[in-house]
Amino acid sequence: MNHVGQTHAGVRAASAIPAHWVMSGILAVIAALFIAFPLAALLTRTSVADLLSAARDPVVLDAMRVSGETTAISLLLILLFGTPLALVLARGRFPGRALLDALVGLPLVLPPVVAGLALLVAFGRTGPVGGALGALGIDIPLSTTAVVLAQSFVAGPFFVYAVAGGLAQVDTGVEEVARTLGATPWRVLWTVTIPLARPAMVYGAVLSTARALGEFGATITVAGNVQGRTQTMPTAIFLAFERDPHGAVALAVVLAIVSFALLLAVRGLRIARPL
Amino acid sequence: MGGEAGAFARAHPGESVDGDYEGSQQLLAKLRADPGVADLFISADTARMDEARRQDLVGTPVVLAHNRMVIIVPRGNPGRVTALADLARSGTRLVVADPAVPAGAFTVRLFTNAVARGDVAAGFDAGVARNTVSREDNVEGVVTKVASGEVDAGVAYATDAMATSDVAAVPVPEGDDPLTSYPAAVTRQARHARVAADFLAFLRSSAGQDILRRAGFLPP
Repeated sequence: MNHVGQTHAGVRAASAIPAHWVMSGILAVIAALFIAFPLAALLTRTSVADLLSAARDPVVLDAMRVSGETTAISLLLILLFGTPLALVLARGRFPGRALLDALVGLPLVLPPVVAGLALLVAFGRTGPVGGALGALGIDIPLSTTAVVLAQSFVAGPFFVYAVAGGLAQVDTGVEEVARTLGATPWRVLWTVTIPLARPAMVYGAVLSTARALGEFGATITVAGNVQGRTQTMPTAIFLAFERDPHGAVALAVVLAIVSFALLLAVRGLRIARPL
Repeated sequence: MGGEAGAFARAHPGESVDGDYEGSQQLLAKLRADPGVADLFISADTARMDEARRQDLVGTPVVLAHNRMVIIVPRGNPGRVTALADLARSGTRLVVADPAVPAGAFTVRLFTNAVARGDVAAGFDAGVARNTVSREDNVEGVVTKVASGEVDAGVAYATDAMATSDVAAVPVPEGDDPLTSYPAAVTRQARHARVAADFLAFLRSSAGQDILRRAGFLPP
C-alpha cells in the first residue's frame, strides 16, 4: 500500500504543472508574440541615426508639440466631464442607465472616421452647434479645437469605463460610515469616494492619454492637416510614408515607445490595479 | 475601379480581381514593405510608377487613362468661387491634397502654371497658403470636406466632381491643367501574373475604356 502511495506521489510530482496550465501558457505566449512581433519588426526597420534625424526635423517637432498640447487639453476635459459621468454610471439608479452605459461605449467601437464625420456634421458650419458658433465667428472644424474634440470623443470612454468600473468596486459601507459621522455629501465624495477610486482614475487617464496620442481617423476627418496647427504625430506618420519612409518608421517608433512607457509607468507605480 | 473589376469577372469566368483602393503613395508604401502584396499596381501619377520601376517592384507600365484637375465647390457654391483667382481671395476657406500625394502635387503644378501663365495675379500663392485650412492625405478627404460645406472650395480630379452630386466642378484654364496619367503595371512578385495581365488588357479594351470614360476619365 505504502509503495503504491509513493508511486502515486511520484507521478503527481512529475506533472507538477497541470496540463491546462501548460496549454494556457503556450497560447498566452502566442498571444504575447502576436503583439510583440510586428512592433519588433518595426524596430528592425529603423536606426539610431533615423531616430536622431527625426528628433531634429521641424515637421516632427511641430507634430509632437501639437500632439502633446492637444492631448493634455483633451485629458483635462476628459477628467472634468468624464469623472461625473462615471459617477452617474456607477452609482446612479435611473431609467435609461443601461442606454447611457452603451452610448458611452459607442466611440470605442465606431470606426474613427465615422466618429470624425459625426463631429464634422454636428460642429460644422451647417450643423446645429457649429451654425450658432459660426455666427459668433468661431469655426471649429479644421482647427486645433477640432483635434481636441476628436481626441476627447474617441479617448474619453476609456477613462469613463475604467473609473465607473473602479467606483463599482468601492465599498459603499465606508461612504456610509463617513456620512453617519456627519460628513457632507461633497466631503464624502472628495475625501472618501474619489481617493478610493484613484487607482482606477489613474489607469483610465493613462489609457485615454495613450489613445488620444494615437488618434488618427477622427482627427484627419474633422480637423484636417496643417503643420503646426492640426498635424498630430499619427497624421505626420501617415504623410511621412510618402516623403520619407525612414522618417515615418522612426516617428512611428517614437510614438510606440512613448505609449509603451506610459502603460509601463502605471504598472511600475503599482497604482494601476483598480481596487 | 470597382465597376471594372466586376465587369472583368463577368467577362472572364473563373477569374476575379480584388482591389485595394487607396492613395497611390500608400499603395507604393505597401508594395515596398511587401513586394508580393499585389499582382497589379495602378498609380494616379507617373512619379509613383517611376519610383516603383526604379526599385524593380513592377514590370513595364502602360497608361490606362488621363484626368483633369478642377476646382470643386459645395452644392450652391456658398463661397461664390468661379475662377482660380477666387481661391486666393481673402476669406475663402480652401482645402487641397498634401503635396506628398499625387493630387496634391498636381494641385501645386496647377497653381504654378496659373502663376507662370499670368492667369492669376501676383500674390496668388501667398493668398492660397493663407486660405488653406487643410492639406489632406488623400483626395477623398478633399471631396469629403468640400461636400460637407465646411470649406468654400477644394482642388480635385474631374472624376471626383462627377462621382458625387454634393460638389460641383469649376473648370480651370486648359493650359494651366497638368493633365494627369494613370500608369498600370504587373508587379515583379505577382503570384497571379496571368490574371493581372488579363485584367490590364481588359482595362485597355473598348469595354474597359467605356467604363473609364463614363466615370469621366480621358482616353490614353
